[in-house]
Amino acid sequence: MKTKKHHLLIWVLLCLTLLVSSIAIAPQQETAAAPKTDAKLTAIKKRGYMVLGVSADYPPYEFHKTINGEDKVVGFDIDLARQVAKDIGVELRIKELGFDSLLGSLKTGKVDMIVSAMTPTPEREKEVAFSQPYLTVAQKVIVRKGEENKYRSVMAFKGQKVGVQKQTTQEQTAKDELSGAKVVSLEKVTDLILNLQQKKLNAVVVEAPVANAYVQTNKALTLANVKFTNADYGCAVAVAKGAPAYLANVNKTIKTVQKNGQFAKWQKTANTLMFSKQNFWQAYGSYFLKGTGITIVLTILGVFFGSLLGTLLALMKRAKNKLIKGIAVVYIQYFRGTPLLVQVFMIYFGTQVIHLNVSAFASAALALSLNSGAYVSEVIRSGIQSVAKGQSEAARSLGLSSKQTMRLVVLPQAVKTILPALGNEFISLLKESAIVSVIGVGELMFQTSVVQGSSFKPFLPLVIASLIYFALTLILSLVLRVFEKN
Amino acid sequence: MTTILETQQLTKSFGNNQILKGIDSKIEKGEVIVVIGPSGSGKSTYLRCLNSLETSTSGTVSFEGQVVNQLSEEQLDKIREKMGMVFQSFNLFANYSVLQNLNLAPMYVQGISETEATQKSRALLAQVGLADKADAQPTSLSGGQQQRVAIARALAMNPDVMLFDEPTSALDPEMVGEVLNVIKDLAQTGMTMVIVTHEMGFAKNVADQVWFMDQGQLIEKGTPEQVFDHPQEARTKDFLSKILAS
Ligand SMILES: Nc1ncnc2c1ncn2[C@@H]1O[C@H](COP(=O)(O)OP(=O)(O)OP(=O)(O)O)[C@@H](O)[C@H]1O
Ligand SMILES: [Mg+2]
Repeated sequence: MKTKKHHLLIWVLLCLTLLVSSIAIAPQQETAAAPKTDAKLTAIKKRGYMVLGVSADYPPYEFHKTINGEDKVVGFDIDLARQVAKDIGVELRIKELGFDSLLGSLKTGKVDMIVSAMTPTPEREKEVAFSQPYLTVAQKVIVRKGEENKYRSVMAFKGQKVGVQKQTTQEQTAKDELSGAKVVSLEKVTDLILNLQQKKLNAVVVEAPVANAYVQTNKALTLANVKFTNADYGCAVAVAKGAPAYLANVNKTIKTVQKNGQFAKWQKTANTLMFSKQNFWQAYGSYFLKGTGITIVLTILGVFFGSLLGTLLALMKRAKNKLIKGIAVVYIQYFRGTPLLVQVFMIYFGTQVIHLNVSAFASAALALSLNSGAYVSEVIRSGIQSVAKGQSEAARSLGLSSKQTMRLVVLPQAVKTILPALGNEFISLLKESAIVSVIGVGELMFQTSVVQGSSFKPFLPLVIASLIYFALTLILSLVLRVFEKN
Repeated sequence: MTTILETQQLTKSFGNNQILKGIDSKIEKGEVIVVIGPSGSGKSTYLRCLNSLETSTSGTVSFEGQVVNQLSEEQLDKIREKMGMVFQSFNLFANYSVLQNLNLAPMYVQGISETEATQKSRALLAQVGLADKADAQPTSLSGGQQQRVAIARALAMNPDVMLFDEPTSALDPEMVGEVLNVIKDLAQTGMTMVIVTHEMGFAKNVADQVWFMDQGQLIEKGTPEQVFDHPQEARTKDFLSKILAS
């Protein structure tokens, strides 16, 4: 057994070296050099389907569109992926992930390939294997209409604020080629556009397909006629390392669809879909609905488990045992003394570090519960303190134990102060839950940014989200007031 | 005579503040002791040490011949069961009706059925003249009524001794009488009692012994006649003259 495995490993390594060197020397020969099949390809064929990992918030590459009332993931990346699957002879299944989780999912085998506007970089090439590029992309500069004449060369940006997406090729390009510009890096393209419209930025560097989309949908924006010298880059399909035959299949499909013009057709379709006029509510209403639902569920889970945990912590804090008390004190101090954002990241990535496969949703629910537990425990503590000391003294003087006193006399009275405060905790947790959108949980804030991305409207979705949050908290506080009166 | 409660060199400090400074005292079965003394002299603290609501700093407290200082929490619960305590501010359980206030400890501490407990509670309410208030909420009662319920609640546990901490100090003057009458009746039944009060007339009337406490010490003990009419200590005289003047 052992030797066999060893052989296989050597064989794979050999193929890999061969493959890598053949790519390096002569990319066009790579198909010829690859073997007929490999373990990965065999597994996919046997399974009958392959899983595409994609971050579907980047039109025209990949985005959500409501077609005939049905929410679909579309874009030329998706078309390409479907063709790859078809050529291998299997069905395609789509798994949506945050862009940051794509590589990890590919490496752990949760997905079989990534087609998600991904550019091969040396860092990424260390982790996964890339096909030959299926698309070469140029960089464009978006400016406000009427100001395009100010920006005719890369020199014109001296002292100007230029926005780019964080950790992208554009960031590097802007720094390298727009000499003297003040480069501002933000998380999302929609934020960049918003800032440009509000004159907080004077120009935004994004890649051509995205730039074209914004300029076409937004009359206040236009493209500056600026040429970069060294900024084109390619998008490629990523697959796991060590599957040369599989990779060869992918490359073959890419070559074919580029030659026969199929890819260009897909691009056109994607552009048409992207710009097809749709009633905003018809197109995106369901996103807000879904996001609101998840936000409510997350909040309920957080408050429920937070209340259980909070009660436990409040009791632990009253314990005579110094260790138990100490744990509670440190816990409460820590979770109240650090940002929820940090806690969310710690739990999401921390569980991965210890090889626990916890979904983003579960991580978010866990983080909210742990966080709310610390606050609820303080609510309960002050509720208990609000009960007059004479009440428990009278109970003890009658021979009731400290536990009975707590259960029969103090807690029933403390509840009167605890419930309203718990209601406030509910409201603040509902608002705070927006933070978990950072790990890709599809709650209201996350859906809002999806809509921002695919509608090319950076501001309106924010207004809608804020109104939904406002309505939710308003309803909640009205309900609480009714409760309090009873 | 059997001794029910006894303290030897009892001291109690809160931080560096010594409140009780070595108290020797003995309470015999059936005795009514009235403790008098200026505000802040440690009377409440003394009572609370007697039933272990406060743990003494040094010295001993014995109940029915048993030293309580070393007892576990559960054993202390058992001891408190046999000592009724009535507080200045009544401390009726705000989340229960009058009847439930009386029933609670018999049911949960002694494990008596609700029917049996209720029967006894109603009898006790009748004894303190509040038979018709069984289903009332404590807050709907006058101060005097609340304090009578509190006394009935303590009696529901069949205590061997009753401790009263200024039971009438928080009452409007017109309600003092009804509460003192209940306590007097109780004295007639032979109940052992320790009463902290500023009601000197009542003390003369009901006490077997009057103890004068000042600055954490028992300064003088004696029959009501001895202490009120022929006080020996200067501090006692001083205190009494101030009380009578007011
Ligand atoms: N838990 C406590 N912590 C700190 N100090 C206390 C505590 N309880 C009582 N004391 C202090 O002990 C002193 C004596 O209090 P205590 O209540 O025994 O006096 P008292 O004789 O009952 O007075 P009063 O007639 O006003 O009720 C007071 O100075 C009080 O501030
Ligand atoms: Mg007192």
